[in-house]
Amino acid sequence: MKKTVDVSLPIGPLHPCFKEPARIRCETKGERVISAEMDLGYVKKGIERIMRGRPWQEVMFLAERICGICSVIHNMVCIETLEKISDIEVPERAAYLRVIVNELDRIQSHILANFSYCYTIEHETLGMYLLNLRETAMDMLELITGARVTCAYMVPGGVRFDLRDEDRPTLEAALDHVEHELRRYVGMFEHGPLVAQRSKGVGIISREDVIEAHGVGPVARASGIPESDRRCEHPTYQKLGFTPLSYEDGDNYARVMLRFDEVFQSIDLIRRCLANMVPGPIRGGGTIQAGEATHAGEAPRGELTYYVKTDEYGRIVDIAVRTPSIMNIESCAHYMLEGVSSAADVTSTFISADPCIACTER
Amino acid sequence: MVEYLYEKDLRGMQFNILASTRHEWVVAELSARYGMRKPEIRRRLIERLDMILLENLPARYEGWLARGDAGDDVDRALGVELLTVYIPLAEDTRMQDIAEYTRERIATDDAHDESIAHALAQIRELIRS
Repeated sequence: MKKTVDVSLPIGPLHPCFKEPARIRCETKGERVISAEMDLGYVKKGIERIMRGRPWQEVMFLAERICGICSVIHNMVCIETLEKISDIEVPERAAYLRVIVNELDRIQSHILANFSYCYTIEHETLGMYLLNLRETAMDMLELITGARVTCAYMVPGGVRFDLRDEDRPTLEAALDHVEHELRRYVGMFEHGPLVAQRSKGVGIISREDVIEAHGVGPVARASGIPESDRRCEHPTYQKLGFTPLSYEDGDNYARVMLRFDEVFQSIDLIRRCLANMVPGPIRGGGTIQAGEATHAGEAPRGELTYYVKTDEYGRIVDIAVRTPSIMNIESCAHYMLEGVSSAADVTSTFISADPCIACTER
Repeated sequence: MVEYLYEKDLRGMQFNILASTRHEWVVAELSARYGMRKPEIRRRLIERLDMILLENLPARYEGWLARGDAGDDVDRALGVELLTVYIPLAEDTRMQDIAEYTRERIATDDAHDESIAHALAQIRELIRS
């Protein structure tokens, strides 16, 4: 419904604070935003259509190209869906290695999201510190998988490479380094007066609104919904005793702080994996069979769901991907941005939801 | 006069969003529920919802299936929250009026199925208006 507005304020599609193109049309009354609408479609890839009819060996590479920031979880959920269809078991060591790589990916994604937020509220110093720290997590991904972005590490029945004994101390030292440095940066964020002014009480979304918009991941957890597919769905995470974190405030500050806390949690999970891992095979056998399945996993931004249907030759007959950013951007555009008291807070609120346009426009 | 690329008509992109497997399922469900043709449902969705709400359509519909209109059978049969909160295609006050009238009619005449059918016809016209 159109309302009487002072100014219709377009932000984007290209904006210095946005990593990818999206357009927000804000209707304002004075400085206050009374409603916002999103225009998308600038980077639509049609990747699900490209996947149809192709063998799974090609589709697993296409899946991780949906998103360049959380490519590991796309690889993981796609492969786990194929394993679910074909009843393929994963060796224990491979299951732990999957969690290690997935958590490293979550660390770099959360640090990047918080860098973007700091950059948007013009705390560039902290932003650059975080970006520098992210490199350590990226280096560890490269150490284990051989690649920084499109790793293609997981395959049906296991993983492609083992963690060598000589690389283990490097990984442990890197985790110590990230933990130590991040505590300092979190302190800067927590106690910065500028940060508090731009973040506390800004872009609030209530628990009820999150449920209505089907918000997931850090957006839901920052509004008091301590849910994660890592606890509900994944046997390895259940074995590690994973418990989701949550905040109650539902504002920009809560979302950023939750991501910082989740980085520490990921470091802890990786350490527990390293402690539990015993030598053994990293790849079992199995053939992809005909069938269909829906499977979900917890991406850095929330619940990522794959529906896959295969034929007897292992070709993908049908596939549908539901990425977490779809729900989170909607939560942001229609709930967080409504009532924001200054147009200057629109970009920071949008970035605090960690939107990924590449995922949304698969 | 310069014409910006992002000011162009984006209905083609909106239609592409609705062409996915899961969106097609939602459109088919709405079409069956309210007795409207699928192209007409798609047209109303494109006219009334922005692109991110279109993208989020299946999740919102699943949200309504899980917990929407939970307290009242008539609201559930008519999809009052479905059309006002989860997939906003109809005006809130008009939907409430229709639901209230239907409840009264069922209480007095006890013609449950006819009353619901009559209300759905009214909702159909409301979506079209």
